[in-house]
Amino acid sequence: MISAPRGGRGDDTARTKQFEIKSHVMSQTELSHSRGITATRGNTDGHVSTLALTFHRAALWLQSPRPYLMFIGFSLFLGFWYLAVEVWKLPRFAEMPGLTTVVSEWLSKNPTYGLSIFMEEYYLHIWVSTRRIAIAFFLATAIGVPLGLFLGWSKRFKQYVFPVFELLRPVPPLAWVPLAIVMFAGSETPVIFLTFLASFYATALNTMLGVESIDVSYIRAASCLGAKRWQVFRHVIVPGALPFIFTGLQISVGVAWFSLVAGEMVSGQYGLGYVINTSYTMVRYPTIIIGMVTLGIVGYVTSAAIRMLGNYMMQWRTRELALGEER
Amino acid sequence: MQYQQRAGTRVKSLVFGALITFSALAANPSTDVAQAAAVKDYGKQGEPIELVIGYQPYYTESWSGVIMRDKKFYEKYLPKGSNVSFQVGLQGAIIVNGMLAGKVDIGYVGDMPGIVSTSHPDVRDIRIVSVLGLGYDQCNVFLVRTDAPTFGSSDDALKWLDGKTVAVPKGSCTDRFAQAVFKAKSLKPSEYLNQSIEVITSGFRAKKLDAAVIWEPTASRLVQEGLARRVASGASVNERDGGFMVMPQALIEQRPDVVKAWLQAELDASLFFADPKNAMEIAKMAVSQTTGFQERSLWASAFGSTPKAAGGTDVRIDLAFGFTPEALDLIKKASAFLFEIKSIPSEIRPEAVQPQFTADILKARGLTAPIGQVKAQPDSAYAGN
Amino acid sequence: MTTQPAYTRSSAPVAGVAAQARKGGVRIMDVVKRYGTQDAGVLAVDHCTFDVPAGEITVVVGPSGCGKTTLLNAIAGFHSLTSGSIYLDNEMLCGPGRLKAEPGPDRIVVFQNGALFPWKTNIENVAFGPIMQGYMTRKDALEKARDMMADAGLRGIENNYPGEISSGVRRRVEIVRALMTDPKILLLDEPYRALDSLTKSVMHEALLEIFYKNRVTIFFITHDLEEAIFLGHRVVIMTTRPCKPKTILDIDIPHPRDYNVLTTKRFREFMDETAAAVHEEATKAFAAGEKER
Repeated sequence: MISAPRGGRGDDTARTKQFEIKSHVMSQTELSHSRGITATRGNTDGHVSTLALTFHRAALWLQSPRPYLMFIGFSLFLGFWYLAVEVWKLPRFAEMPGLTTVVSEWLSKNPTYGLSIFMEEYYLHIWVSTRRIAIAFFLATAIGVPLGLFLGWSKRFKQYVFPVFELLRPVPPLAWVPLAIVMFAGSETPVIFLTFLASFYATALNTMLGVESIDVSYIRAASCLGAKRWQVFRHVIVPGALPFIFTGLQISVGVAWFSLVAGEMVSGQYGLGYVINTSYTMVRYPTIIIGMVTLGIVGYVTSAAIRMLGNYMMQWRTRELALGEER
Repeated sequence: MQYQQRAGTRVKSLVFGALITFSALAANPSTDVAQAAAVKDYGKQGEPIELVIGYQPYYTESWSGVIMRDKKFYEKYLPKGSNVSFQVGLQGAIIVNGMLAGKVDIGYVGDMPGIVSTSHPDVRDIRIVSVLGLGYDQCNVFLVRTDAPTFGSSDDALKWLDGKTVAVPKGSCTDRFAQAVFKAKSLKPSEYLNQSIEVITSGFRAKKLDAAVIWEPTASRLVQEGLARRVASGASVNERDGGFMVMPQALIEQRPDVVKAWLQAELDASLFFADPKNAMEIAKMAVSQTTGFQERSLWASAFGSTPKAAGGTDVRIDLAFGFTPEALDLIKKASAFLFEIKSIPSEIRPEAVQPQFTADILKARGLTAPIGQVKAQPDSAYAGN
Repeated sequence: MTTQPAYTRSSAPVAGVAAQARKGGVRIMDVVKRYGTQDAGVLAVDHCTFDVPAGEITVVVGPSGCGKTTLLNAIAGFHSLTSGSIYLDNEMLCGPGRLKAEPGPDRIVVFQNGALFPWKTNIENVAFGPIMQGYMTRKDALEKARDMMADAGLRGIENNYPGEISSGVRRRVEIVRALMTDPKILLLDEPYRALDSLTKSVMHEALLEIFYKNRVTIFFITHDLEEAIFLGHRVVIMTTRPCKPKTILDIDIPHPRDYNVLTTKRFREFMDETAAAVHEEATKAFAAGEKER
């Protein structure tokens, strides 16, 4: 007969898993003993603070093979480009701008076509595009998340709104260009609108799906515990939908970037999308590639920033996943 | 932990190896980037040939192409069994990109795209073989919004542009002209926008633009639809515009017979264009090859007249066909300017201009360049509805 | 000891709290629940009548999908009845004229797959009820939560998230959360189903400990007969769908119980008595192709 241990007071069997931080990291980060960020939680049980956790994870990442594998991936891609265009001169590749042409143009102090990292104009383009993306993304989130939450939460609301929503969704930004020009004053607002569109849909839809994905047990449990409808919304629906919302946000920032190229057709003056469009009509092939690469890099950075924000805001998931990771 | 350390070392050595190989390849001096791309094979002389013609019915100065497509003059001169297809380009830049990609064989383009096309010999060697036409207000047309003040002269109008929002489709003949005028008159628009024709049209409609430079026939259409007014042209500042025919060097080298044949047909088309009796027929051809344009606008773009104060001219197009001194002058000035604004990587190569074909044909037919003119006709001459 | 619907109250003495202070007695009277329409629907509960005495543990056993969860949901207020009525402490909870009750803190459910909010720490979860209902300040609620968790042997994990602790411990936290609002009746819907048997045995003892301290009425659903007999004052064995009580047993093994009970002769007698009945229903369910809801 198996005699099971009694779950006693102050027994360590209550906590069967523990997140441990290496002692040298703990001693380095002054936040390791729950001052500051976790002060509100009012506990000093060796519980790990969020910031320390972030630094620790970054340190782990650098020590792991991951950054080097990333580097190899890029090298292989660039290597192939270089070989295909300039060394082997494969059939349709030979006419493309080669890696050396693009890189030398990009890094040149006096670029042939006027765009390189030494040109002030380059950073102006990046700034203008990033600003448009920031505004469009912010609007898309501010409108899309609440809309998505309501669509998921209220069946009546969904019945009214969702059909129109879905009807307009497949229309690409490019098709909206003429209407955008007419509907919005100035030349900046239509661009932001066009960038906002796809972003908004991604956010709203993912948020709605996030709400719908919440296990009904949570809602029931909250009701049992006496929460009123708006309390359920605030304490269960919103945090429960967060993982989906952040997935939506990552997608949203990505589609914002590629709507930008269509949107900037309308602007006519600055921006990475403008650079790409114009380089085509001006037959400046290396500059097209420079535009594309810059767009890729900046887009990657924005996406990563959102991912990190998501990890920070959804600590419960990060920690849960961390327990499953290999050290 | 130990396994991880070993794996980490393995990965790091892999990275090192990749870096070394990559740098070795990059340092290889024998890569000849300037070597020409895969050259198209056009067949032997006298054989039937397949040609793709990139032309612009939406660019009046190059309407010899429109006439060519309708009248098919080339059938008389090309080897029997040859196949010719016409592709519409909405802008010269699109045709140039097509030629550089090897997908278009003969191009009817404006002056800026024409010169730009010759400046990428590493991609494809393209040459200018004929001058379709020269003008003062075919490409170089300044339009302003309808509610702009009335100007006494073109000069006043140009001065007004200082500090205003001006749009052009970049990379086109209008771009070169606009920038040249701004420089010559020390003007600085508050915004110099690069927009396509459709976006410019919407911009005028929504009253967001102050001015634009647009080529014919869109210029006439915007005026006809009451969206904009003419105020100045190349005539106001003595700036010519031109249309050119460009061909790849491969075609010239391999099939001089085809080049000659096509240019013979081109001469026929130009002569047809020069005859004022053909005006209505040409307008009808243009209608059938475009969409969204009224016959009246199309007729006006080639044959209409405009008051001098608004930049109007009597001779709408000088049909040069061959390389007149004015044509060569335009090419020289334009390419110097384009190099200055970094639109082309170097000054135009001397061999980019190939005058000998047109010179030979003109001599054989007893004609001199310019072979004719498209003159402005009074509004009453329009016989349509 | 085994009877059809008519039953006798247990003669075994119930230790602890005096009878009149006990609350949470539920009376289920002639309840019928049909999903869908008259002709094309599914009958889940068919004229079910039995009592859940206050201050005792009543365990409902039956094959999967037989409708026991439907009963629990009706008491909790998640589903409506088709007909019949349910009384809580002699007041009508739902019945003719009001076929659906409202969920409330007097009848708290502990769900099968656990419903601790993953985005709140354990202590925030436990303090959730009082804070939502507004009858305690946040500070007081957290303090009480800390005390109750300590009492239940859960000290030290207050600031962890549910995802960081094992599922057995999560269940215990959930039960503490349920008890914070001093409910009349605790409704447990196969709470230990997903746990391994070693953890289960610990859970059982923990649950009993809590029961002895609080004397809250417990309505417990399971398909595990051994668990049912071990825990319950009363065991109700249900038929397969549509469910009705087939057998009602009063378990006269004295409380407080511990695991030594499993090897006693009385326990084995109960098992023998009921095994055949349960097996019969299980076979019927299998033949009818029951699926887990």
